[in-house]
Amino acid sequence: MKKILVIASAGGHWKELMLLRPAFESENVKYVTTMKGLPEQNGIKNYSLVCDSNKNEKLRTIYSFIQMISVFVRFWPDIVITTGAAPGLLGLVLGKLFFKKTIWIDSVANAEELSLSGKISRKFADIVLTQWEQLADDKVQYKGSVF
Amino acid sequence: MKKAFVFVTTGTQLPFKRMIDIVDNWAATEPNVNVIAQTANSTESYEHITTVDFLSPDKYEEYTTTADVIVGHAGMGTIITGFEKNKPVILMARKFIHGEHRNDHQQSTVNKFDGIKGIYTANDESELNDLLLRYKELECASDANIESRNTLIGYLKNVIAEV
Repeated sequence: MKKILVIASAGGHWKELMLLRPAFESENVKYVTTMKGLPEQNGIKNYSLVCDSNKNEKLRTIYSFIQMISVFVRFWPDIVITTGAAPGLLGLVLGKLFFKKTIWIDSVANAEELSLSGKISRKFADIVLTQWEQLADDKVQYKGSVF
Repeated sequence: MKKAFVFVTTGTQLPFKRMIDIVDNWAATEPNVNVIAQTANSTESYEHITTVDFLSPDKYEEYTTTADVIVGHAGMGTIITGFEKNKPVILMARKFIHGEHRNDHQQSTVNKFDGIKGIYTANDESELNDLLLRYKELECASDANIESRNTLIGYLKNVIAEV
């Protein structure tokens, strides 16, 4: 069984991730999200919480990154998958650093252009997925969408 | 007669005063409706609706399960909740020009889901008000289009298998 670290911030990112859950539930999965009580809603026991952050909150981002390092090192995944947002990007950075497979799934909410985090992930992630066919290019792939 | 329950959500991050103001004004004219709004905003107070800054996942689950209508910012969380709970959903997009979000992606979201059964989109304050006035007539959303989702799930499974 492969170890997959699956990361999504609370809200739409998490909800989209839950719709994709059948893709990895036969593997050894650890979930990471940003809100207490959320994983339990979906009957998930193997999870960790990190604090949410965005590009305007440097200290929180650093704290979130430290939390993510701790989760990452203890679980030591083979694959890191995220639907966003900032904490997911931090997880992908760690994944790349340690030569793990890294997958960014941009939210279906982004139809005009990739999200900011998605654009950053584009520079280094192994696989970057958009859920909009017209946003696919030489690096970003369209392989279906939750809706 | 049991009062109808309208649940309003601005999501986990930012306030959306423009939407909440309209809902409050409408609620003033609807004595048979009970409105609870999650506003992400502790500084405003409202006369005709009950507000809370943020909700625990349990409370969110409770309110979205018991709501007759869900009204929300055009976030994917709101939309997916409507599909899951089979409720009518009224969406209003945050606009960058009003400082309501970092960009205008919610407008594209609204465009994508406009016209789908059970999803109602308001392009401005007056359209939101019109939809609220029709709240009793709105159809429920249901999650039907899963072909593209299964494609994506299948792709991810293959990628995982190859690692």
